[in-house]
Amino acid sequence: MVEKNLKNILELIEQQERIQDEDKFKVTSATLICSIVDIKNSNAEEVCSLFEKNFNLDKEEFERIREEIENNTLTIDEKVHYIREELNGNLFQMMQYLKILNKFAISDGCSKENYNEFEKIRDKFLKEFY
Amino acid sequence: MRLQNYSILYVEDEETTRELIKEILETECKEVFVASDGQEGLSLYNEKKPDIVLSDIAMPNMDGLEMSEAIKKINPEQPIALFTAFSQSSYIKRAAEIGVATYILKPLDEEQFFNSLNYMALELEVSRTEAESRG
Repeated sequence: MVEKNLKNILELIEQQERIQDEDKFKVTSATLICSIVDIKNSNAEEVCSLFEKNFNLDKEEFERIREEIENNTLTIDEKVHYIREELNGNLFQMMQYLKILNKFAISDGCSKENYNEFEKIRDKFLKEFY
Repeated sequence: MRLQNYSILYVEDEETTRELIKEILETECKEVFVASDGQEGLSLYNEKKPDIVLSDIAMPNMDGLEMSEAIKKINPEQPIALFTAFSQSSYIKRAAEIGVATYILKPLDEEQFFNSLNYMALELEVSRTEAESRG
């Protein structure tokens, strides 16, 4: 599901050619998703099994980006800043992107903490538009 | 604040909370309609066609989920936000199935509350602009 949604992100925003580094975009998006679904980033094994079990992520594709996800040291602010830059700060594209993050936030097992985290990310993207 | 351009239907059965939130909403929104349960909320929705619907979940007569489901049948694109403490995950699961994607966390944090409402207003603005550009 993660992979499918990451593809959806790219398709929805019709940015494939404009994204500078598609892998970096996907990894950064995956780590943002990690912070709004019930998984612990610190537990690599748990992360792997949950991604495979719940998100039906293609194993080969997951293995390819897994290490990058685990080693990603960007802060939430830096991730949001990067994604915003890639979307050129375009409100429509950011809204499309956030709709997909929102789907994860309210997916099965959604907790108050996860939803709260989604709201923080959402507001970092959009605060200036409010 | 964007909310000044939008009307809100607020549904809450608890009188003290209802009056308090209504007062807060009236400072920022174009128009605020208030109902005390889902049934009244649905009837007011049909009458006023508000831009945004905001509702508690547990209420007598018709709860917030039943009302949301009925409203989504009338207008699948209607932005709805539900107040929740996330204490019952079954509510959230059902709300997501109905198509409700925004939640107002309890206890209420005023800044977060208005951020969520402004997010819904932005969603509306973007979808209306998109619809206009499609002609």
